[in-house]
Amino acid sequence: MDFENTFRIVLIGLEYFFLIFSILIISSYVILAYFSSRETKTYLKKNNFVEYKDLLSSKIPPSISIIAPAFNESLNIVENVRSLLSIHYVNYNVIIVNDGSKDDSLEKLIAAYSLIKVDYFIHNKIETQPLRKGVFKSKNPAFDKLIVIDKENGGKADALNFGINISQSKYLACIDVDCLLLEDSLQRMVKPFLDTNDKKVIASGGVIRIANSCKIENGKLIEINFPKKWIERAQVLEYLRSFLLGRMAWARLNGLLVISGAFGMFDREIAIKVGGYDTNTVGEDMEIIVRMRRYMEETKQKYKVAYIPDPLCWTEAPDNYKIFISQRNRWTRGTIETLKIHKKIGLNPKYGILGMLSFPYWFIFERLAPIVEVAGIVYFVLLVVFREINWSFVLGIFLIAYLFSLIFSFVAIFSEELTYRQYKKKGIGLILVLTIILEPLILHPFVLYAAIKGNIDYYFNKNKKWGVMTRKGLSKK
Amino acid sequence: MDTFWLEYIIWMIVAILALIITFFILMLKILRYHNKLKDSKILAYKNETEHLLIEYIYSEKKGLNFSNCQLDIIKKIKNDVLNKQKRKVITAVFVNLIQEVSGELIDSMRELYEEIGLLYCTEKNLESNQSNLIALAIRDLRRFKIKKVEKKIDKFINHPRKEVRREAHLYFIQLFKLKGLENLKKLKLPLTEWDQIQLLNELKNFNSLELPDISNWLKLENDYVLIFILNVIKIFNRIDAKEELLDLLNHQNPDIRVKVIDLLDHFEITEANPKLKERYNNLTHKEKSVFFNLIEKTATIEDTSFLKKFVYQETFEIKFKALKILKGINQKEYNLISKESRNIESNEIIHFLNSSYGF
Repeated sequence: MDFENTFRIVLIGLEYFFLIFSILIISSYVILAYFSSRETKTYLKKNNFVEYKDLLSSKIPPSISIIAPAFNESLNIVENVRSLLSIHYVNYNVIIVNDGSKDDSLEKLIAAYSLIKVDYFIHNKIETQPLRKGVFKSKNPAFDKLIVIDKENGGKADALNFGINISQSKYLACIDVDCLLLEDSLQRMVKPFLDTNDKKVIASGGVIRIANSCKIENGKLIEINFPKKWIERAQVLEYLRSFLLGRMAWARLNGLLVISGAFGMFDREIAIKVGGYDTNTVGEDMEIIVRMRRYMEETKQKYKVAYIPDPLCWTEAPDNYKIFISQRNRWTRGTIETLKIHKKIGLNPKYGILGMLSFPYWFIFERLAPIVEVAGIVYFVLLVVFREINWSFVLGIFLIAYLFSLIFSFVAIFSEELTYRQYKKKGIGLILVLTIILEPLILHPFVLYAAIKGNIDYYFNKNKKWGVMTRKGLSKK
Repeated sequence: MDTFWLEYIIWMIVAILALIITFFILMLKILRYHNKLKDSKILAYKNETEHLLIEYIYSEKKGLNFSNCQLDIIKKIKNDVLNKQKRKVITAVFVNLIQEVSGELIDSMRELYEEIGLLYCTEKNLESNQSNLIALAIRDLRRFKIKKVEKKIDKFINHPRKEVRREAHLYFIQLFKLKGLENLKKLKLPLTEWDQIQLLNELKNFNSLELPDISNWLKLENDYVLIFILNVIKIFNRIDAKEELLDLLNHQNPDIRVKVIDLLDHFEITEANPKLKERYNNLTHKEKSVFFNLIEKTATIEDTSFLKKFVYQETFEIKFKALKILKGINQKEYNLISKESRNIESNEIIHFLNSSYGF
């Protein structure tokens, strides 16, 4: 009798736990949606009459180094570099770090840009793997902005650190080499650094858009198309939700914990002071932001991590579930590692919003959410097996959760339609609605599976690192 | 009974959410349709307005009066100005056209701008509570070179919102040139780097010789304006305020001191070297770094003893610069250091300097 009572109390406790967790997560989304809409309005109001072109003819804009690590990117590297060299900004250079590629990336670059090996003194402010074939610059003055480094393989973070060592610019734009940056992307990304006096802007991040199916010619985005495969479509929706709702809201609260590794800009001085990217984590993009923020909090400096909602960077998303799962698995491990490294921050009032809001949010709703969700599913299966189920009740609860998820997707789509409207073509509206309806069924289960696999790999497969991201390339023409 | 009510509530929520989603689907459809329609209407209206404006500016007046054709166009556009969306399009077309025409045609467009009531609407926006509307209004007034609202704009030069302040100062500098620049003296609030870039861009259209005596500006109390003026001095190569510049080496703001040393480097002024050497240990890292740039350009063999102090110590950057300069001014002393050095970092630098013409 006692056992049965205890068992019942445990079950009720679990039910309340799942209920409270669900209410909290839904409430957090509502709050984030609210802050995001406020921030979007403010951003558009402040920036709709900004004349970015003034930066182009001015003599005083600060220097920026674009650092792009490349590993076996032979397929598109020449076009991608051409695209980077055609960005509209006065004072910038492009540092391509060939991170021990086994393909002919370097040879292709040498041939395409008339590169020659040069003597280059590199002060190793951050420890990295050594040079392999050396540093290359172009004989052609037209490619004067280009520096190519060939080094031993050390991973993305190590390659970025090498780029940081070699850069002499005030700001660093760290990108994935396969990303397509729009011509005015540097002008827009650097603005928060130049237009803030009351606090130091340590980093700025941009929205990442999915370029699958888009028409790209000579490194330029010619036509925006909605992807053809459902997995890609679902990711478009997921990115819109994440970038236009989530991150925008966190930017409003000055609580951003992550800037996408695909395109982010940093204050070089601070990046070096904190020791650059951590080579021991697969979530180096999140980790460096948390470390920079932590440094600023500990040294009691006023700071800000800015966020630019304009669609400036387009990238290729996984088009099959295998690569998708591998990518999300890595993101999960990166999150776990970062939260573990900086666990001291959590609920520590000394770190302000970072410690009391951003960190706990990420821990509960990013780190724990998939585990809680799987626990809920297991609990439900056990109930089905061992107890009588009120199916009408269960179906109702499932529908509430499902419909709420649709509502948030709709909010993200409305946000897009009222602001940037990148998908204007006829017929996309219907596809968007279908994507919203299907996404929880065709993508979310795989996100969940990847997150659980990421947890398992983190604890039981410590040797697992990046995984392979096979790209088809953006330039189809 | 309890379960019944709970179930009832749950299904009610489901029904409400389903209704909301149905509403959203319809809304999305309407929104996309509306956006598309709006785009095509705007495009059509833009083309029409462009056509009308071109027709207006190339129509000849009847003496001092408007021609019939011009009057028709004024009447047509005047009605459209009352519509917010159309007003936006008209303004955009105006802005584009005014950049493409010159001479009397600009005056003609400005006259039309006033005649159709756009100026009235823009001036009305100056009274708005929304800072973005004020900033937009000032921007339009600047683009159409409307000087007579000067007094109205004057009250915005210390506006709490930086966007408004920026536009106000741009207005004065673009329209009133040197007289407008004087308004910066009234600025009590900060100027961001972004503001400086925009203002300096306007100043590019000035002749360097038109600029008044710079030395007065270097006595201003607003550090941000002071930094701006130091940038002006550099861009316009105005070396005439040398004494005032040297005085600024004692300024309490390190950013200003760095800018001043950078200017001394730009003009290769060596008078400050002894003073800076004397207080070297009290300089910030940035000051030291720019000071070494100055030494690099102006060093003579007499600087050897000063430079030797830094070939084994200090930061990498300073060590590198010290050795590089030393190599240039005193090869003998440099060779001696090359042989004696036991400092790993210094040896790496020496090796690089000896074996490379690279970067």
